[in-house]
Amino acid sequence: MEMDIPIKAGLSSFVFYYPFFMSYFWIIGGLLHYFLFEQGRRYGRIVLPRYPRVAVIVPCYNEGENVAEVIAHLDAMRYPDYVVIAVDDGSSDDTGVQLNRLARRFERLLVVHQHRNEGKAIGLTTAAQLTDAEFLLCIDGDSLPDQDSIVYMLTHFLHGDRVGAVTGNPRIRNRSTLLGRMQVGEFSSIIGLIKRTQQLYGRLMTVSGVMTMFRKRALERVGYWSPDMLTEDIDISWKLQVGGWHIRYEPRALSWILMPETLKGLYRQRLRWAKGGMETALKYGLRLLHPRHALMWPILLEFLLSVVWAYGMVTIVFLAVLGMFVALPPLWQFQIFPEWHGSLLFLTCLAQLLAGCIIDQKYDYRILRYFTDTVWYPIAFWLIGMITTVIALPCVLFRRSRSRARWVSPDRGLKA
Amino acid sequence: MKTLIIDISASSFPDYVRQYGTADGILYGLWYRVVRPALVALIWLLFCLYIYHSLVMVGGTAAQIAELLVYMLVVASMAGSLVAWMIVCRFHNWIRMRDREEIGGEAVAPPPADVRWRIEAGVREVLVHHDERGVIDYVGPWEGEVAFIPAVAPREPVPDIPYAAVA
Repeated sequence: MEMDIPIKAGLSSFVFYYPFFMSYFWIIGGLLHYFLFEQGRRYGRIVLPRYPRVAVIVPCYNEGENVAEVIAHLDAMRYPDYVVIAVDDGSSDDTGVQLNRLARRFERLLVVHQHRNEGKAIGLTTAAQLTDAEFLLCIDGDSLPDQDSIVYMLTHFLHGDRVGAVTGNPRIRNRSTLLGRMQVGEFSSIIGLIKRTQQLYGRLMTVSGVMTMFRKRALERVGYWSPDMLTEDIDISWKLQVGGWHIRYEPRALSWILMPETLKGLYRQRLRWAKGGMETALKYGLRLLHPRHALMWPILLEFLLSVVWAYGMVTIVFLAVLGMFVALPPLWQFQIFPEWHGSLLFLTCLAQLLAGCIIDQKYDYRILRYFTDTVWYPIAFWLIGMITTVIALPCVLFRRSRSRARWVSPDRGLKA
Repeated sequence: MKTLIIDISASSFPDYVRQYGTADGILYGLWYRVVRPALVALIWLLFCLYIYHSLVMVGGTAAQIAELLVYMLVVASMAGSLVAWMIVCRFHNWIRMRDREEIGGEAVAPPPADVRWRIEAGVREVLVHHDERGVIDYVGPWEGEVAFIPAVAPREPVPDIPYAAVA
């Protein structure tokens, strides 16, 4: 029995300390990144040493509602030498018809019809192989990049020949519902702060699939995107970094995107992300053990700890709820509302949300008005993150065969 | 970029009525402008009470204040470690040099699908077929006569055709 109590203390301590200290780590990293690299940087026209050709690649699957707006937006990017390649990946709606019509209107648009639905990875690879552009800006079919994004991202490539990819700063467009507004805070305080901290460290967990620019030579070297991975963005990030290329984060390269505004849509999206992360960790885990990839170890470790945390949290929540109805032995007894530590964790989470929103206020100037709505976020994030991780692990471990990852029409939220 | 943001809840009461009709418009207006903000305010209030109860009523003991000091020390050391790491990365370029060697060397596997295709000048819409592995096996115009262009062997130079010519 005396041996059992340390196990209980260890479990509850880990469930508290892991998110508590990681939050402060991300806040520190985000603020350091902001004061060292963002504050005072030019946010306007930049003169580059040269203007290489860029191909903007837009893989589309059932994006009939968004594609006209996206292509018209892309035609107005402020960059002298670029083309737009829209890949219709066997859409079952009128995406292909609309793209053909748009090709007659916009001279720089090339429409690639895949004869059947092949998946996003194949769509991206196909477009990459059809262009002679040196750099590829890959965006989603609902993504509206800032007009100067190409220039901001190219500054990294043109000043570092080892840079294989530069990821942008996704901003949520649809903010009508509480879920949409919470994600506004999430993208700043969770995704933004983590990317900034990881950039200071030197390795990124993942680029954002909604907008990333790649050096085509780097993609050729690593064999392009993997068609059998659920999240092609996490896979290509690890593939490039294992291959020796660097990945950068450019907060000025904004990308305005649509996100799910229903619980079902959000759950499906997060489950896919969780499965994709685990698939990638399993795929590259053994290779990363080589000392040559030691810089990736903290990224892998942090990911593994997040999985362990999810299972630990589920165990504690389950036992705490069960303990309300059944008399459990002392080892299995947990509080449903942890008072002292729970409050500390909640305040820490709010501090993280506030730090992320203050930093991103430079790019999304009315973001602080959504901060009050993110009060739900600590619970919503932990619940969804915990549930999807716990479900994703067995799904990935016991997946029988690695089939082609194909599209599912996403929830793009409320438009009107 | 303000125009890109979609926020139905930012509309005024008359806008809701105009857009959804009188009955639905009033309901939308009440939800977005009254009920939802009240719910959010309520949750903030509940959390404040919870924190007040747990930190002030239950907490605040000497042991817990000592615990807080330990946490602050850990957070400060994390900040110090991160700054130290950045300094190390800046002044010790061996890490980046090693990465450069990895890129230049043979350690990276050659791309398996290094088959590039040419698109005829003037073609703006193309059709692409893939084999079962997802490798391109056909590229031709979307409409009209199919101008099949065979794959170029991976190691052969491919003539660069600027996209200006294609367009």
